[in-house]
Amino acid sequence: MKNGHLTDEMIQEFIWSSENPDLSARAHMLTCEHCKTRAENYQLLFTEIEQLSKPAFNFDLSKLVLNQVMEQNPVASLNADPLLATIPAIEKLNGPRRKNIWPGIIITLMTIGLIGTPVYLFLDSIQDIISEVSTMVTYLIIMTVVLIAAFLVFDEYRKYNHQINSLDI
Amino acid sequence: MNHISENNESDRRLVKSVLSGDTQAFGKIIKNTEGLVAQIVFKLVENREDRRDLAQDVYLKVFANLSGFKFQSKLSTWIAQIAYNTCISQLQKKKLSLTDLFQGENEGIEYSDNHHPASADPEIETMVFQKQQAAILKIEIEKLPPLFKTLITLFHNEQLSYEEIGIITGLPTGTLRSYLFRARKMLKTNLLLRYKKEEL
Repeated sequence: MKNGHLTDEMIQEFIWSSENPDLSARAHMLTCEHCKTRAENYQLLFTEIEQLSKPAFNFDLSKLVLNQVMEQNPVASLNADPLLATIPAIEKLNGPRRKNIWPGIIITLMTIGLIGTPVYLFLDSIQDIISEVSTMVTYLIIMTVVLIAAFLVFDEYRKYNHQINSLDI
Repeated sequence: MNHISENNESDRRLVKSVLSGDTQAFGKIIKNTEGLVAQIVFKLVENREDRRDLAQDVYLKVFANLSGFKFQSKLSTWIAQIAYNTCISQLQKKKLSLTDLFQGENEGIEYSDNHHPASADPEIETMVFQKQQAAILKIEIEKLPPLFKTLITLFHNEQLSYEEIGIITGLPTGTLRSYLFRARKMLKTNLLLRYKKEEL
């Protein structure tokens, strides 16, 4: 209440928040012509907004999207039956149901080979180096590597979650 | 059967049809919801080319994730949520943060209760709002910060509830009410300022 009249916020609440009516505001409205007129003005303004024309895309969105869905899967566009055509398109967009695991296996084996070969060849030298370094330093190196790896994994997980949340499915 | 459950039934039928391979049903979903998506895209994104790409991107996401839709809200609300998030991501890619969405043209103006340009008198307000033309009103809405004009449009033009707008924007109801209050007040003040300038 300001200068004996309702504040702008109270007037808006009175008009647009019917579930929790402020009884004092309601009572004030019955007796105060000034606030009643202000409320009516708000209603007048926003009734006009309700009637404003709505924007529309100046292209056929439905056609564009459906064409793109088909383009992303040539099998779908060649398929004469639109009902059958959509199924591979969904799989294409969602990713195939059975993923090809061979590239992953090959990359993993190559990585093991690249790291394992020098370790195997220079195992004696590595053991000598480790034996020369104190236990404390060894633990420090291991801890640092583990912490960096944990940070990277956490960061990737955070990015993944952010992307999923931005879809909010 | 009430209106909401009718909507829900219709949503379920359409989603089921799309998931069983009916492309035409997805076309129908687009036709049913593109008005709401257009409102969000037009309010948050200014560039026409970007709007076209975004609108397509929104529906491709909808198509790809339709099987994950859990019917916890109306299908249109879920699609609008994807549209809103896609627009926000686009703005973030262009280095525009959510705080930029609060900055409109009349940034320096104080919108407190003490500041009523041209009107201590509600009679003047009545006169201004009665002779208000739709074109001027549209211009003044466009001048609002993007987030505010989106909220005004969703609440007053699309007649969505606080709950639905909350789902779309991810804003808590209290924050949403506060933003809407500021947006309405800003719009009213700007209209009165315009009137005052025209009078001078």
